[in-house]
Amino acid sequence: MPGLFISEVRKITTTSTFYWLLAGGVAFSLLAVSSLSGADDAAMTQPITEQLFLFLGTFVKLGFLILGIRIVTDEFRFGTATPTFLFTPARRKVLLAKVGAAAMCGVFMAVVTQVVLFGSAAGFFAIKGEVLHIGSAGTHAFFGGIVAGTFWTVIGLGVGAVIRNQIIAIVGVVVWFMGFEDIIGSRLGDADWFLPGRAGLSLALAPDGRALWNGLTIVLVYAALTLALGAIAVHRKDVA
Amino acid sequence: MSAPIEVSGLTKVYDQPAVDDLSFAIEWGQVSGFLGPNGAGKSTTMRMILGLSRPTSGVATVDGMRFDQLERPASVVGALLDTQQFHPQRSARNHLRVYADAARIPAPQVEEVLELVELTDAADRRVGGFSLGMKQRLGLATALLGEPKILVLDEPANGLDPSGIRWLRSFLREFVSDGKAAFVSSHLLGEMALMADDVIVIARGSLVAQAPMHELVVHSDAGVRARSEEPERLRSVVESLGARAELVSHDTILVKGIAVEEVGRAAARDQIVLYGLASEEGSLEDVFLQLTGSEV
Repeated sequence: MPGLFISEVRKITTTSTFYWLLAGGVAFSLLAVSSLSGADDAAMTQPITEQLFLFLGTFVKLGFLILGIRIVTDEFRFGTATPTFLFTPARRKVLLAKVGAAAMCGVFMAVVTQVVLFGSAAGFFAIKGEVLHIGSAGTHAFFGGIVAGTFWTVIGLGVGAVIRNQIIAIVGVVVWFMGFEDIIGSRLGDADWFLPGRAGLSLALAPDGRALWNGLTIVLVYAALTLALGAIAVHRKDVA
Repeated sequence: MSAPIEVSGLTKVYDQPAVDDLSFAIEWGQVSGFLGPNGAGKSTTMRMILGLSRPTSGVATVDGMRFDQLERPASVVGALLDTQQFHPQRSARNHLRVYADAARIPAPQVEEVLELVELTDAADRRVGGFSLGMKQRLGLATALLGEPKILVLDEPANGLDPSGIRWLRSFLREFVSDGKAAFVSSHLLGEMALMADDVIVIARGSLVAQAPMHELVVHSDAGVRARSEEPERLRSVVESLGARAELVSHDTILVKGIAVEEVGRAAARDQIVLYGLASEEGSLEDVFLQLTGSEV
């Protein structure tokens, strides 16, 4: 199993997709901080703003999802699934190793994105002669963002295992998270807690412990569900 | 000792049967050819043998076990099924390392197979920039990574230049010389004649023939060529024996349906002078057409 895990990590780190998505996450973090330039001094001295995370939650989330989707769908798009399953016929073991590798790379990408976000925000405030007060909400957002990023990568992997067509899978999550979920959410009002995007966001922005645990549970259920469906699909479908 | 590859009643049905109740076995120490027209079910059969495609019914075993039951599959069977099995952004060396990691194959083996297929100089180049022949060689290197005792190669000569084909032929010969086995599909019939010891012919998913390559060629109905000063009379004589005969030049007829000995005896009995008498070996193309009823 360790060999299989190393193999999957090597797959991710030996193509440019991971680095492009990482660069995209960093770019969005910098963009988010630059959006603070119009804030007045009072707003700037507040903890990292909710708006900033809403912005990141929308765009960077897609980066994690796309990473997860591509970890699986690249195998079918480029035909590498054939040697993968020739060297390891136990397909569920391969999927498990992919989950581990995706989670690790997701954590790495999330940590880098968050460090860039908070670091550049601190730098930006320092230039203005202010001190960034991260506070408990900011600390929560920092670690919650890392947990959320990791889960999005794993959920993306599950989606990719179910929907092998890369374009359909990516367009599907973009359409869902960039519009469809908002439409459903606006109709549901306060009853939108079970939607994946809302639950993911609560990991970083939950107002209290209960909301945080609820969000975590829901995200876990989505991750488990997509992976279970993915495992069934990977086990049953022929490798063309 | 189990056969290197054995399939029994193997069937795969999509909308219609792609492979239909196929049974055969190959032997150790031989290059076994797998011949059939395009769409005959060769690749589907190979994919079922290797656990990539699930049979509708029937069983395929590799070294006596189903592929997915092999403990260390890479050390039992190496396969090259497609030239499109590389991530274009990954280097050749990293491609091999990925699978070496998965099968816990020591890193030096990566360098060995790169050297074997003469890709060491291109090892750090992205595979996307490789020619078809280079991809084919990298595919072969991947198949050899686990030092397997069985090779399964689907159209391995595709994209190789003549020297590459010659190299492949001698490589396979050497591979099986110490008791290993190779199962090679091809539509290049002439190539198969030079490469394989034994051949399995399929058409429309079903077994058409399995025989040693030389037997298959010799037993083709290519005919007997007879040169005589009385070709027309000789034709009448052999036709009276139930043979078919045609005049192919002013002094030569081609006789089909009876053996060369019978033609000779008939000519002697009727005192027809012969200048030459020889049975013709059929080409593999002839055999293939006769067996499969398909265009090559």
